[in-house]
Amino acid sequence: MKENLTSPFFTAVVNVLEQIGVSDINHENVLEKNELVIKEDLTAFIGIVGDIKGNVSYCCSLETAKNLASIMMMGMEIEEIDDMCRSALSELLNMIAGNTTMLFSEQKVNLDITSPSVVVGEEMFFILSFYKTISLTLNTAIGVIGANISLEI
Amino acid sequence: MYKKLMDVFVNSTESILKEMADIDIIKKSAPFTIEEDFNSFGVSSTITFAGNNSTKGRFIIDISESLALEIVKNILSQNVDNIKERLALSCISEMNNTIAGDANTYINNNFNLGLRLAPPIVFAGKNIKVANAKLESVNVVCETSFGNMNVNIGFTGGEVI
Amino acid sequence: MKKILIVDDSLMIHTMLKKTLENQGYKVCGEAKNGKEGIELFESCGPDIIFMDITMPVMDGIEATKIIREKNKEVKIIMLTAMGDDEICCKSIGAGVDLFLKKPFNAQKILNAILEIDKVG
Repeated sequence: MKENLTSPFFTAVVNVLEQIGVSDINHENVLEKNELVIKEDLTAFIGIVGDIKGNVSYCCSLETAKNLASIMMMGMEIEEIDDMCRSALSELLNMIAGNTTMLFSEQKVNLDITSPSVVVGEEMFFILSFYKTISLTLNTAIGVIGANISLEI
Repeated sequence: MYKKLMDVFVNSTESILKEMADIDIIKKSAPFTIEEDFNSFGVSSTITFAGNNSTKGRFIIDISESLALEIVKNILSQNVDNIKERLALSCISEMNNTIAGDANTYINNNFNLGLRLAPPIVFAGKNIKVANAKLESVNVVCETSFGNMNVNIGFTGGEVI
Repeated sequence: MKKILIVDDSLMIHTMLKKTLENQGYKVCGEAKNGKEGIELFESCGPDIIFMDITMPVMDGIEATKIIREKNKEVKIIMLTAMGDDEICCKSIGAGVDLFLKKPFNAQKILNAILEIDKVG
């Protein structure tokens, strides 16, 4: 997958995390996988349609999710993944989606972002794609966040 | 707003469930709106879409584990005892893709929504909740002899039809 | 004491705004989750200031703002925007918005917005 198509998704998540105040963000090398099964308990995903088609997901543990929601809620303590927490994470995902749209429009690539979804559960087995996927692991002060992109071109 | 669209999705679900997995829907609830986050029966496939006039949304088929295993068993013509497995979930994903494609052909021919579908996502687990900010979501519960299924659509933006 | 109406489909935004505003002594007189409810609550609670989100199901913030402005020129409207809303922002100005508040915001930005709004005509 061409880097100009995948890098806006990675740039957007880093931009937004920095904007909300997450520190010590660094990433491991980008990996290419043949298909992707995610076993983290929280996955947020967005679909892509247009000149390219596919799905992008961001995943993390429930602990990291609570930390993210807490930062979104101005430091409020988040004890469980309740309505409030899911609402905060949806807002975060919307911000990432908005940032991504902006980066792509600067590149003049014709695509549309579909409805963002946040999925939380236990003992999750989540298949983002049966095709090639590019994965980035972000290490941050509040936990590890995975970013995965699967595009059909 | 959604009655016409919901009818299309439910009809497609019913016919493709029969065609692909030879399972009949024996009872359907009336469509009802869900205001809070969506609670999954355990196995779910979602297809999101974007269309004209900033329309965005997603279509979910959400299945109890017993029904999901029966669907996979019929599609593959072999016994399956674990739904959390790549081949099994690929059947559910494929069925969702077929339903959404069928429904969307009708929708694009009859309503001017210009919906473009992203590929399906599929997942299984316990106590799953799906949060979609900014969506109004409508649900129909379908009963079969092997378990229940939710057909759920959510839209934001666009024209009221 | 100023009365405030919050119109947003996000539970999180309601919680943040309400907490910050009530801590400062403002009264949140209504909470709506879409533009249509926002108009209904505007009529029943008569706020001085409205925090209005843009993208909401049933009726969006721009439509709701237009309708409220037809009824009332004095109420102050603060529109909540996210990245990628720039094009929509221009339409909002036409609709009668007084101030934009960009997400993510914190307590300080919320209070600054209220102070700014008091200065606006």
